[in-house]
Amino acid sequence: MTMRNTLDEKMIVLISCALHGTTPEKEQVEKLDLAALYDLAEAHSLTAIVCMALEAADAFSTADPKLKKKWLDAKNKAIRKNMLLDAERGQILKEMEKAGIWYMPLKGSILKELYPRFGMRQMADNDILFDPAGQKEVTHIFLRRGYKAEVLGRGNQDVYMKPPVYNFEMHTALFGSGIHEGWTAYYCDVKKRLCPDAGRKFGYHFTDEDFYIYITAHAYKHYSISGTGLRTLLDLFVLNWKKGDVLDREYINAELKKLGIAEFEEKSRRLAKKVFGTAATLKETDLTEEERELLAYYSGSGTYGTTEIRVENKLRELQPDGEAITVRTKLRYICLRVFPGREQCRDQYPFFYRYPLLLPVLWIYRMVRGAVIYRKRLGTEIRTVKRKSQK
Amino acid sequence: MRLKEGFITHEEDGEQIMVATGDMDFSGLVRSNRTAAFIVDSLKEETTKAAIVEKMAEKYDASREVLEKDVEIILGKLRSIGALDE
Repeated sequence: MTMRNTLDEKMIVLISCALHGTTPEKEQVEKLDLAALYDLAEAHSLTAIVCMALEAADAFSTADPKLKKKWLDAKNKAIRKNMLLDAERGQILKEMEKAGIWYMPLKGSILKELYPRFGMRQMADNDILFDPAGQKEVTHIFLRRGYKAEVLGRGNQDVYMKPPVYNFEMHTALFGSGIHEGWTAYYCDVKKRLCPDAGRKFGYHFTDEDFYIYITAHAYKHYSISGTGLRTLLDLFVLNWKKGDVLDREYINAELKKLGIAEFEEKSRRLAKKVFGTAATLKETDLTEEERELLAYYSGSGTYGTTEIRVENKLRELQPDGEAITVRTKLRYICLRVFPGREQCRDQYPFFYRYPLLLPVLWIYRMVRGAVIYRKRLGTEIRTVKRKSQK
Repeated sequence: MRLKEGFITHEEDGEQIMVATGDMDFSGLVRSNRTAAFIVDSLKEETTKAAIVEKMAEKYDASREVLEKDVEIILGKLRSIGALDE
């Protein structure tokens, strides 16, 4: 697998330029297919940072005005969304303070502050960890503010949405059950790991080290299930770039080992540094074959991963011998998907977890829903399993 | 007059960005230079056009005529997006 001379590689150079405040060279933006680049950047939630690099290089001077507007709109929307989410989060946290519910903002809302310019790090939503004992009151807070509860009481997060851009994921735990063995236990008493915010009674934050560990674990969760895109690699780079000198590596490594992700972190960190550490174009010899494959995996995943990668990873989990996927493995996969067992329902369908005798009702519901609502996604999943059988 | 509560600002590199929260009709983004940002910031509390011009005269080395004209232009723009409570 190679990244040489691909659009991915050109986008990476542009991102690095924006990050390090250098103007991309003329040949780096010349003959760029700005429409294809837009689609790629959008798939990775990186339109804003790429747009900033393109603006610096004056790449829009000869571009189709509609395309130029599309890029600028995407950048401005990212800036606007970050501002709106910040302001709204502030209001929600104030209400949680008043209600006496402890809380800690997670992920993007913290990471974005480490990027050199506002809006560079796009946010789709806002994640907040909070006291599970305050779950009902938190629901009242959101409903009072005009939100619709999209997901409530299922798994470890409730999802609230309100037009035009507000999307809050409220976590009662950092990871749901069945994600990775031991993670739920590691984070079960998470509050013990938190530090109180100055000037707030109920606000908390991780130490830099524990934040780094959590971000890595979260990245690995997506990486190992459906894949995760270049923004994750970029986050990891920015985190090391801005905090690397003060982090207690010994502690981090020991904790990452406990979570079983020390190797993933080391490989991703090294790759991220090679890829985003300089604004120069990557040379063929800069990356090892393994690093090229890892980069291709990040590049091929998009922000939220893909169904294809999820299916492939699950098949590999069921058959970890590295050999070609057998018919038996595929049948096991299909059985698990069509007839999920009680344990699989713990987070997603707690009602059926409590009443396992009713599982057949769920199976029929899922079959009908899959055929009617998720037809396309189901088609991709079936095709991926089928392709595996042809290998 | 004052800036409506649903409008929020962010400052970076000498530029101010202003957007409206979901309760407002305006869905765009306003970029202001330092002078315009000064006027917007003055409007974060109840004020008058004359008071803004007065504050600007203390800060900027320009004639009152020029300052009044600038303030009027910015107020006009803010009015056009429904950002002023008058």
